[in-house]
Amino acid sequence: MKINISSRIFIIIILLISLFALSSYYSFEHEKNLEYPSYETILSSDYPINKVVYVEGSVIKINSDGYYIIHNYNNHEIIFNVLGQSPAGLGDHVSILGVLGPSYQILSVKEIRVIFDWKYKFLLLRSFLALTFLLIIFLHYWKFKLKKLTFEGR
Amino acid sequence: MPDWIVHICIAYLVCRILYFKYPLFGPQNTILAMIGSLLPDIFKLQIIFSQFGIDLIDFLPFFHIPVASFIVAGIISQFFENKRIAFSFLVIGVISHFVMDSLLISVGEGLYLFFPFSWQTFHLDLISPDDYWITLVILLLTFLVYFLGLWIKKKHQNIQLIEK
Repeated sequence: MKINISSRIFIIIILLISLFALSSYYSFEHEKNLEYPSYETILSSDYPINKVVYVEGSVIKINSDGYYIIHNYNNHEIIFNVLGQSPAGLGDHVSILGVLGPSYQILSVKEIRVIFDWKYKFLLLRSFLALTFLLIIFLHYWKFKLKKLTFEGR
Repeated sequence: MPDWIVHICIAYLVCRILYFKYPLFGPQNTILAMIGSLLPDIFKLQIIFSQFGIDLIDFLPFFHIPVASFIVAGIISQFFENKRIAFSFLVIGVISHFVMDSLLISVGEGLYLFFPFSWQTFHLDLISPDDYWITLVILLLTFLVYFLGLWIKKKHQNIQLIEK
């Protein structure tokens, strides 16, 4: 099969430009179209008190009043104090839809999902194994021809 | 997300079942669909980047949108001899990924399936993202279809031998 490298490079450039344009549009407009206030809004002076927010993070402390979760947003660690009994243990990951109170408190939880730490690590492990397996099979069926800059079937 | 075993197996199952009828869905192209089924999860690279203190959380989630995955599939397909077939199979994988992800239980927002035309999000809230029983069932089904394929192939070979 005849391969026209320059036409392929042209298509790749067009696609990269489209990708860049769409990702710019996404990053500019995403904030405005969110159903719940983002972390950026929570961290801003326009703190959305008494509004329903979506937050997530790892449980770092549990006490009789509630529990604390930590989330890293743009290298800024935010600690939320969730009032109520903790459904998760230390290190577990929780996603919460709840009402934001003062000082990063979550006053009432409307919806919560817990991913236990061991289940999350197990998920990562089996996904990593799947990826390794897939790469091995891929290289079994395909080889890269440097001269043509293409993968060819073995 | 369902784990990557589920995504890979679903893409395999779709292609392997179609291969019973259509030779185009052979192993080489099936692998491409399996690769395509992981493309939307490029944003999971954040897990690796975060270990090195690099935060791309504002940039990478964009890739978990169908249109972005289709474009990435388009770029990758340029590195294959038959780019149209490569693109088609990568897209089959991408679609299977979003079908599976839309089944997930999601707190907050779901998937932007129709971006850039709509900001409406979708999720069906049927499967827990960390449920490994789903993985086991899909894995079992995959082995079943794989061995069924081998059995049918052997049967055909035997018939051909008898006919000769």
